[in-house]
Amino acid sequence: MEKVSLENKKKAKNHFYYINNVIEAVSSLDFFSMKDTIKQAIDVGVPVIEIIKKGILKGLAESGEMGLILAAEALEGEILCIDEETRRSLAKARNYSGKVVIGTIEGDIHNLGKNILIALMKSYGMDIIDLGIDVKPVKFEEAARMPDVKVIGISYLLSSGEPFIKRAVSLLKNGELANKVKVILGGAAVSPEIAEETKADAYAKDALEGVDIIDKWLRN
Amino acid sequence: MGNKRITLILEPISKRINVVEGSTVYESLLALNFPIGALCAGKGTCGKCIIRVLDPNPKISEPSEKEKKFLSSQKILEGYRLACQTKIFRDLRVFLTDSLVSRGIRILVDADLESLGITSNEKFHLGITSQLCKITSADLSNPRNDLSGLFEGIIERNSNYKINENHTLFHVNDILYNIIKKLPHIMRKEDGVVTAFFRKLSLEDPWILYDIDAGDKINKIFGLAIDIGTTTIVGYLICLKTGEIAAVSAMLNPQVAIGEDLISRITYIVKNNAIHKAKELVINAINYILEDCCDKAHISISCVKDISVVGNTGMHHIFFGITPEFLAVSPYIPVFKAPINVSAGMLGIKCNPNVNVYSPPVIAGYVGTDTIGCIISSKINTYDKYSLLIDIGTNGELVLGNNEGLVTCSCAAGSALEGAHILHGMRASEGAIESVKIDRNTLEPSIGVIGNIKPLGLCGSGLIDTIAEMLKCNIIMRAGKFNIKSEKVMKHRRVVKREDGYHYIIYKAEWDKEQYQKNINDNNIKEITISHKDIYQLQLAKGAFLSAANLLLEMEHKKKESLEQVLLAGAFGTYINKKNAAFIGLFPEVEQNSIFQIGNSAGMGAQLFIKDIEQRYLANKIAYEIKYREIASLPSFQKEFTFSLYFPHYNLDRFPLIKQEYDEIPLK
Ligand code: B12
Repeated sequence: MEKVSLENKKKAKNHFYYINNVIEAVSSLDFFSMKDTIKQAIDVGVPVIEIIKKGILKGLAESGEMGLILAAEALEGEILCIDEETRRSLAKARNYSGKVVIGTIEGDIHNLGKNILIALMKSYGMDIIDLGIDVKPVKFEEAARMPDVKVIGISYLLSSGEPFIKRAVSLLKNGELANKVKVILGGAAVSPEIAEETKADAYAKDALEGVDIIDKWLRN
Repeated sequence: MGNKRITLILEPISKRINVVEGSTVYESLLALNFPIGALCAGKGTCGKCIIRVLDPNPKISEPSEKEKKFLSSQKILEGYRLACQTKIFRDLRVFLTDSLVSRGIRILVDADLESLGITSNEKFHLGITSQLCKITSADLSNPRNDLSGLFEGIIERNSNYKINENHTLFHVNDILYNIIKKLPHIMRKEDGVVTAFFRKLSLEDPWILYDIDAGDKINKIFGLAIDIGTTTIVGYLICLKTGEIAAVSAMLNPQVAIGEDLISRITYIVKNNAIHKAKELVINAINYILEDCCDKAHISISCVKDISVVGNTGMHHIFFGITPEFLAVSPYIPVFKAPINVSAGMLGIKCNPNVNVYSPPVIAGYVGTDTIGCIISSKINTYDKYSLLIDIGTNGELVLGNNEGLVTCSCAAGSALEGAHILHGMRASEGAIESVKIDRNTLEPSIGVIGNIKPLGLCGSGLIDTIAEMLKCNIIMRAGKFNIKSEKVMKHRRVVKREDGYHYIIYKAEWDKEQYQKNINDNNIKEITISHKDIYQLQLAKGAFLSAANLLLEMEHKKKESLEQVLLAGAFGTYINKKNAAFIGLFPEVEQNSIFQIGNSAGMGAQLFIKDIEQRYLANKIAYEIKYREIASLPSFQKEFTFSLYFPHYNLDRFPLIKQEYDEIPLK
């Protein structure tokens, strides 16, 4: 008994060390050491969610939007290839139910911001369907009809996407789907006015804020 | 001292010339056969050769007694001087006032273009010609109709001009219709002396009669070359007999009122069904420019015989009244690509309705006829050297290649460089901080302000300077973060932490007032700062350019080393400090002396289309041969963009020339 808790303590101390390295790397915006420290932490068995919550997110508080871009890129590849089982256990730990659908609105091909959001969501263990870019409003509607889909996230960077955004949210929030799904908007072209006008449930100015909101929705 | 060469930049034509240090502006212009409006031949007694000095800290002679006679002290404060009295001791930018410009500016090839081995284009293949003819009057014994009389008059003088195969049997088409409407009075005005104007749209076409005027007007032929930018429209009136610029006129694109950037403008047009309104705005502006140019050159609008336009694809579509709607949504395609010739009358341009308006073909939705203009005037398609041409703007365009072929792509830099989304950002106009130096030891800045007045904000070139200097002083680090580990930086009076993060104070009225006694505007700007967020905005813009260039190289299977020279086009590309732009990594590295600032090359291209219709062939060839690359779809985009956000790039090996300097700057 004694021994185990000592080991746990040691482990926690150890984790703390690796997480600190992640914070340091993220906040100083050094891409490779970001990648390295995240990988090291995973390798020694620090739970992904801890790396994210206690490490990356802390670091990001210091490093802003650029940190997000780097972190997403650093999380790509092997690190985010979490198998379904791990994802499920992560999701379970956070009491999640339901899926999230993400896509960039029709006419728009920007996907960096969307990919960042997805990277963060993945690391939280969310169940994601990525519709990609240039997604027609009806595709969002179709996706919303699928069982288990609870959240629709739409990325919107080109102001010319306005009519499509309005159409999409109206399809989602004006019919019988209104109670089934919640809609969140994000991306550089989103303004509080647009969010209000379209009756979207929320909008986020960055991916951190977005993932927090979605996290709450999925836990209800 | 002696024969040191310095650069004199002439506005509003952005012309750079090499002059000998210590000479007067007047002498420098004379040496170039520049027709200057000085009646007294440089003695300083007529007061006509007024210029305005635009440099913030010019190194020029003090105002002479003669100058004080003609210019009030207020004017002198504002930078007005006499060209014949002002000696230059350092690179200088001057604005030629209307009285000078109207005398006609000889078209000179840009100094940097010269060093690229390009000289003025000697060949002149005008698409316009004129012929004097005498129409004998009809009488009762020969009651010949007026039009037949005109044709007889033309053919009598020159049988080369074919009016028609059989000139007695033809239909009056649109062109002839516009002629016969004014024919009866014109042929009777000057005793039957009439000038007939002919044009052809391509070299092998026959000459076609398209205009007439009373009396001898054979030398009164002018062309108008127009560059329609999203923010500014510039018109160049060109004398077709000499090839010289007779007048220049520029104005803010009035469409700014319906959307600052292209996408929001298109969104407005779509939402409000406002294509006609948008077209009207630009046509009105062009009519104003037309009139203004003709006024300045003291000619009648009827002397304008040919028009060419260039612009980005959005501006191009709107100008022709074609909806730009589908440019703003994926896959971002234009309605048409082909070159176009339309009559001025059809477009609503208020010159002779028969005047042809020419536009070269567009390349793609975000690579327009302005890029064709840049290629034509820079002649990048003729170089042996593998070159990169960048037209820096909100929507940047890149052209890569040489005489073995060209590729192009667009890149969405955003408007940070135009001052948008920058806390104290502004466009490069009077009051903008346009150059910044920071002392390595004291970390105190010294700034240059356009118009040398109290500063109002920071423009793109000032932004680039500030960031380059902050890097060199270790105030910020390679990822754009403030150097919070340095006590010297953190404790400095100019580095402050606000709600939205760190700022560096570039100007504070309290501290820096004494620098600006020449405060002629009553602004109450207390402070101008650059914030962490501003730096990030610049990183997005420069990341967009650098990654686009690197991805183009990658797609062409070219190593970074194969790039031999970089040409920076556009107003912004001309004014930035190229050394600092290279330092922050705005484009891939080449030797300093292989970076050329080639001025408004889109506008120069438009002028070439007027002066030499052979260039129109070339434009077609280029537009259809150049390969358009879509970088948006590349899987490697995200990574390359991310790395390009660093100063100068995450991978320092890509910048061997400045690597050493950067080794001193912490990454973190
Ligand atoms: C990179 C970029 C591109 C890349 C996109 C590559 C890619 N795969 O995404 C490329 C170069 C291909 C591109 C193309 C175009 N672009 Co672009 N692009 C940009 C740029 C420089 C940065 C955008 C970016 O990625 N930012 C970084 C990310 C991380 O930020 P973000 O997207 O805002 O995302 C964050 C948040 O908003 C949030 N978020 C995003 N989505 C969502 C969704 C949800 C649900 C939530 C909760 C949160 C969220 O999370 C992210 C992290 O916090 C901007 C300029 C700028 N300074 O913003 C222009 C910009 C967006 N582009 C613009 C334009 C017009 C275009 C083009 C249509 C035309 C052009 N050439 O300029 C073309 C497309 C046509 C073509 N054929 O190429 C314009 C839009 C103008 C307007 N008024 O709408 C901009 C603003 C530049 C400008 N000209 O002013 N572009």
